[in-house]
Amino acid sequence: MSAPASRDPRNSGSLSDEELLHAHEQAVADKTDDRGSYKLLPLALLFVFSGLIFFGGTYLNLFSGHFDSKIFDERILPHKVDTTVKLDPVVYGQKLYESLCITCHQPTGLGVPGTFPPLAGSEWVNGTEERTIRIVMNGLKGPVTVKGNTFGTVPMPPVGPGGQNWTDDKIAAVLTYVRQAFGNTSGPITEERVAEIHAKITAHTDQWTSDELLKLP
Amino acid sequence: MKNGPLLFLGLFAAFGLSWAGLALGTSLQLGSLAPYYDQLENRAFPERAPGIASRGKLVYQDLGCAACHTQEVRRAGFGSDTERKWGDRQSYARDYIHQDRLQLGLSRVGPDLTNVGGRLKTAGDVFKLLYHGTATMPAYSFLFDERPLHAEPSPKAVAVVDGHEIVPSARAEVLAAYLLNLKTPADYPVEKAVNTVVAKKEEAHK
Repeated sequence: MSAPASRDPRNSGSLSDEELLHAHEQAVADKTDDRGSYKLLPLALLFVFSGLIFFGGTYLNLFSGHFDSKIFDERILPHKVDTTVKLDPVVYGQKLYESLCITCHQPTGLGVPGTFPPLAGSEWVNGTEERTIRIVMNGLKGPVTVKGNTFGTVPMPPVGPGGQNWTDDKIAAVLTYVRQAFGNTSGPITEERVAEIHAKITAHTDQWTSDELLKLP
Repeated sequence: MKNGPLLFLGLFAAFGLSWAGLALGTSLQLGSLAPYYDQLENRAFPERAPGIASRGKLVYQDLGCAACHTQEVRRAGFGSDTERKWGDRQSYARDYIHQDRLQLGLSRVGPDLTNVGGRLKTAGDVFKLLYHGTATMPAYSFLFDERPLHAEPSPKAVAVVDGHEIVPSARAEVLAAYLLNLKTPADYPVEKAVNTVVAKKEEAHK
């Protein structure tokens, strides 16, 4: 691509370095040697732009939500919130009751005379927490007396392990609901209390009988 | 080619960085969003649209509804979406996790359709809108079939025109099913808790 060395004007030798400098001096001799017309950057501009950058940075820090994926409002900064859902055990218990217990014990909690015992005003429901928890956990079979009437032709299936496999919190919720619905006025049953009883009776897989439960304190 | 490896590196960096910023970063931020399981309802939200609604979505895309209708509700106090009863709450990223092609919309000539399933109750309402159109919405009468009327008109018929009844075609049916399925579930606890602090602060200042 490049021209042969002999034809390159730089190598022709027509102008020596001294001659070139001389020609340059002659060319610039009549030009004034002033310092140009530029000015230094005004110092104020530096402060203006620093201020703008500071304002922008502060604004972004306050109104970006720090680019958090859960924040949909630019006025909010990331913060710790308690996002655990607290279920009302009565509402949750009612849902659970309506999903299962309602079949036999009826929407009224009155059961079916002679077959399914009532929950409304029942001495078992409103009695000791331990008995009610055990009945729901493992079920009940054999004759049982509720409010002076004898039931027991149909056994109650277990709702806890081995039956519906309801967890302790579900059993606590449904018991809390039943103990305050249908005119009952007993106190709530906590999940911890259910877990405590659950730990005691893990070995027991069969349904309870009325006599076994009545032996409990 | 001169500087081939450098050109390749430059292209790789340009595409790689944009991919990382647009696809990878977004995926890392929002990709793990899961449906919210509501223990009381015993269901997970948002729910997947039924098959007929998915077919309707194809018609929605096909007709270009997104040119005038959005599907994103802005928060209360920002715009007038809440006042127009387009939604009880703003849309969150979680609302869209089951959708592959978001129909967020290009402009808001018509009303927002995020919750149109709550405003229009029956398919008949949708058919009437589609057939007649409104002052600002064109009539989509080509989605309807005309057939000779023999006795009583079909319950689905939107009009009877000299001995012929106008009935919705299959496209209109699936489109109506899609629109009636557009509903925002109740608020998610996490998003609600994270996004409601400002309101409390403002009240405190008053």
